[in-house]
Amino acid sequence: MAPTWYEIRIRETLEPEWTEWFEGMDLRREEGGGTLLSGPVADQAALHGLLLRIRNLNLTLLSVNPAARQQQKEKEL
Amino acid sequence: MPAGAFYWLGSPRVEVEGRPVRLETRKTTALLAFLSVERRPHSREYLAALLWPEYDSVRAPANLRRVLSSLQQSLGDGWLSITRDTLAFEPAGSVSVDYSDFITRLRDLRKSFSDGEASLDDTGAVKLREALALYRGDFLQGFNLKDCPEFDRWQMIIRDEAQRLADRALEGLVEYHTAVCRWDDALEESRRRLSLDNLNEAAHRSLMFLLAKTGKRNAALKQYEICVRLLGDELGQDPEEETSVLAENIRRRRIEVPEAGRTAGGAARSPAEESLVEGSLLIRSTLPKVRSKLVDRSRLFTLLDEGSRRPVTLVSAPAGFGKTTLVADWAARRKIPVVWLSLEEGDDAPHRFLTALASALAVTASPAGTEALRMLKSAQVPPITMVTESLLKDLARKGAPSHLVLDDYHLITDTQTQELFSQVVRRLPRDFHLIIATRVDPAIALSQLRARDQLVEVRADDLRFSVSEASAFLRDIMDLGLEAGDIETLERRTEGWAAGLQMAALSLRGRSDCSAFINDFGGSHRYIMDYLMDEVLAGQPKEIHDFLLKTSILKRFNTDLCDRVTGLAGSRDILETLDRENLFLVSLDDKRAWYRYHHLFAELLRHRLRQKSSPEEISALHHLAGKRLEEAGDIEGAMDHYLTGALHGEALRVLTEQHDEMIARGGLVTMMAWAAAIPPEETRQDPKACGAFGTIYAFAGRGEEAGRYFARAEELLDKTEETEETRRLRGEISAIGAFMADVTGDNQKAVNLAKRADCLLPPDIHMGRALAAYVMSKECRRGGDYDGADQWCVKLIGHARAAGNIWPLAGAVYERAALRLVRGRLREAETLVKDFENEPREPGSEGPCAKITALRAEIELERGNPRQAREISRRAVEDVMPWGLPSDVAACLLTRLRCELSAGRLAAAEEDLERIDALVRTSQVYATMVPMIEAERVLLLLAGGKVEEAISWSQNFQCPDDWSPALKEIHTLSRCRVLIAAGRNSEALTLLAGLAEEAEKAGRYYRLLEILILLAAAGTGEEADKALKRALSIAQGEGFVRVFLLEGEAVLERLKTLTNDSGSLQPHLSEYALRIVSLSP
Repeated sequence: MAPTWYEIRIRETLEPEWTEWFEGMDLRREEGGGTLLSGPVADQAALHGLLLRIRNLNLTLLSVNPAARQQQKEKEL
Repeated sequence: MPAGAFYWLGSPRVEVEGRPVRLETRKTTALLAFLSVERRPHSREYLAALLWPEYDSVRAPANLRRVLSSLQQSLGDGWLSITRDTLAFEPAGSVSVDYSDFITRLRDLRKSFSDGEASLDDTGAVKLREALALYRGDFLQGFNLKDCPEFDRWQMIIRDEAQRLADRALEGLVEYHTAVCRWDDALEESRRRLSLDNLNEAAHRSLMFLLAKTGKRNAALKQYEICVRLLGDELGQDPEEETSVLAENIRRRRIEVPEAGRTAGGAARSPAEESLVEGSLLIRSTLPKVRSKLVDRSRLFTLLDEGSRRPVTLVSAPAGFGKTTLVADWAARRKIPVVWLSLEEGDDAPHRFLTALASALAVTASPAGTEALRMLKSAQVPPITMVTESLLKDLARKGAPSHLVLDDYHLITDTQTQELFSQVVRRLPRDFHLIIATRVDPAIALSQLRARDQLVEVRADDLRFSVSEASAFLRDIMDLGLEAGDIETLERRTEGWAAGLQMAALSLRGRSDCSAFINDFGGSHRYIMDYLMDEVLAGQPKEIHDFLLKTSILKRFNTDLCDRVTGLAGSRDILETLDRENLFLVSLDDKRAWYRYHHLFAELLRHRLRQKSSPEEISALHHLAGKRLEEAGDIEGAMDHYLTGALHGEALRVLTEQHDEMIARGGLVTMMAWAAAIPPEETRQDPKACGAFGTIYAFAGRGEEAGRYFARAEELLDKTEETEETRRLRGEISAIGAFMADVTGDNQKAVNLAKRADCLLPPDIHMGRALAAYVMSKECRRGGDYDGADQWCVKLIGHARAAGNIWPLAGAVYERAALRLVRGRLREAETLVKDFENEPREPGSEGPCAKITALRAEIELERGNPRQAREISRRAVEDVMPWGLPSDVAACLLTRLRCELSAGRLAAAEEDLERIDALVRTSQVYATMVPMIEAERVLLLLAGGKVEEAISWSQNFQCPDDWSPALKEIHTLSRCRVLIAAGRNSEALTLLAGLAEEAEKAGRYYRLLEILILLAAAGTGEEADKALKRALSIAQGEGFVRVFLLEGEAVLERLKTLTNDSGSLQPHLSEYALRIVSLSP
């Protein structure tokens, strides 16, 4: 199965070097605080793994959304 | 003035002026004893009636007068005060009555050794021993006046009182000498207590404990057997639970043996290594130590107190909110004896989870879950529901642990495990309290629990530090004097999160510009831990900085392990510094030897480590840690690091080197998990590793996998040049292959492989040669060549001894003894078993020796001692479980089944049969066991009155053609039993025709007995009597009893008739028949 693109929003601001911690997801600071994690997620198990990492660091999860960005990116390309 | 001494404790004795005095009659002795003990005057009338109750009021006083004058003559003057109406003991000179001295001394000393306050000191102990020296034996030992019931009663009261006091005094001494580790004294005193009363169960217990404590484990277990037998024979009782629990602990080696008492065996370890091993095993279930200085959280304590009145308390909050600290602090301050289990990633499977749970419960003062643990440790785990049943049953027991804390429950994510846990929660016994600390709500029916008011929750909002708590924390714990405004900012920015506050406080250490820093921090949106970790690490000297990163790979650590991983020598100082500075170090024991980092802190450290180091560097750290743990003998800990660090080469090496010993120690399950974690492509390149893996699977009864690995090993060996080593490896593989083929009943293959092994193996590879000899002996036995089989066994014993391996040795002795049982040579079998059991053994050999224990049970059973047999068979099953070789497990279970059946405990027997059936289904058990299992199935059905089912068994069970005559015979006998039960005796007799001659010709005398007794059960008149007489004459010399009881009433009736009919039996046979009848249930 092809990986699905996910966007995960958290309330805290994370430095970009945390990208390795989140399996290579792209980390982008949001205006007004918070971080957007985005990238391909292999399957549901991998997604839960990511959420687990967020939980273990006591980060505040705001939203989890699939798909949209990948389509955009493809268009951009 | 004469001096006299009166000794009544023990056999009575009197001395005057140092010379023995002879008292004329027994009544004289009685009178003197009575008066000297009672001391006050008694009327002549009373004394006369006391000593001559059968005489009238004239003759009795006359007798008293006569005795009195005899007494005065013997003693001389000056002892008695005599009036017209009364008599009294009133010595004019100095006198000692040992009984009175004894009582007085003990009453004076009593305060020092009873009333629960053990305040006996050395002087007290000496005095007690002096007093006890007076107690030579029971009061008036060997003396009685049978015709004087009143006197008899008096003597009994005095005797019992003296005995009770002596027992209490000895108990006090035992306790004292145990406390000061004077084991020999304590042992002697315990034995003396038992000589006072051999039914004193507490005394049995203390002797068992002391024997175990001084390293005499076998003697301790023997003592238990003695205790069981005495209680059973004398009182018809089973031992108290406390006693069986103690025996259990001794069996499981939970009685710690002090250095001096430890018996030889096993490599010596340095104290540091000892603690390394111990640490990893015990620490998980130790209540985390809390700092003495903590913020007062009484508002949360109130919540937990509430929870203690309900079944479940849930402490649910993200990492770093202080869940563990809160619960540990509460339990410590409220003095609640909680069982603590910190779950780990490895526990996330039903089997592992239950193992962790049962282990934690089993190391408590009142162990629960020990049976569950045994089930779990065996290679073929019974259905998981049986394990949970056993666990719940244990918890419901009186005195079982009542509070269980499961910390880090969020690590359990596996659906099956969650489902299992939720079932356990639903069925928790009343008055049991479960406290779950977790980062995620567990998948149990929380809403239901809430609705029934069975749940108290402590959640993140409750755990958040309020401003005043934050202020107390920063001021009192972290020694920071901050402005109120700064504290408020910190509290707001961290939202009362304990880890955040602590991290902030650490960053503020040694800063002069606290307010400015707090302002910056307060204005930032960065993730707190990330922001602060940099600050904290930057504030540390490089040495500590590196130390933190490198040691973050360790689950738990002491200075020794840290030294090795960091390559420094100063870990002790660093750990002390970290501890002092509150750097997220959690102390795990009283001695401050073992630590771990706070979980969240460790994760952040590992994150930093991965950023700064390459995977190779991290792997190198795992290598160092693994090596150190391996050196210390913590193979499991070492393997953990090897596997995490992807050091598969090391992991394979450990498995290859250790598999023989691990198999012997019962580590099959663990090894299979490790084997599965190593990528097969790595294993498949190494013939030795393939050989090791094949062996592991072979012993676990997984023949298919084993065969694959062996084939691969051979394939690799084919490609390499032949050397001595390759020949040897091939030989070993053939030997194990032969053994496997034998188990599965592939006899031809077994013999071929055994012969091949014999050619290939050099003479000094004893283990392989032993296996080959074993297979050859089985082949002889199949062919009915019992002597040939025995000779192979003798060879096998030689190899096994040379190899120093207990397993084939036990196997050979088992075969030899079992052969003798079939041949009706009970005494020889017994001698073999006893000789084997009397040999000194290395610790840890119980598993392989379990089936010998089972044989001892069989022998007791045949002799008609089912109670003792049952106790021994239970021990055999307990011992065999962790060892786990399926055929051995089945053999021990089969023995226990027989014992339970003989004791009339059908439900227990049925349970064992189910377990045996499950074993046969899932793994390879000797094909030759099948007829024996079926025989017991039939006996069990018939004992339960299920004749219809037995008939349908008889119709459906097909006896395979390739069974040897000996096996077919067993099957035929079972069919006969069914026919007799169905009242079809003539058909049974037809089946039996000619069998007796065959069995006799082949030398199977035990079967001959069975056949003869069945003939007696099915037959009538003289024919039947003749068969029975013959059976009696064969059985009598060897002492077989059970075989007569198997066929029920018909045989018993016939035996009774034979004994009643004088002259029909020779006297010794008649006596024997009566004995059998008396032993019938």
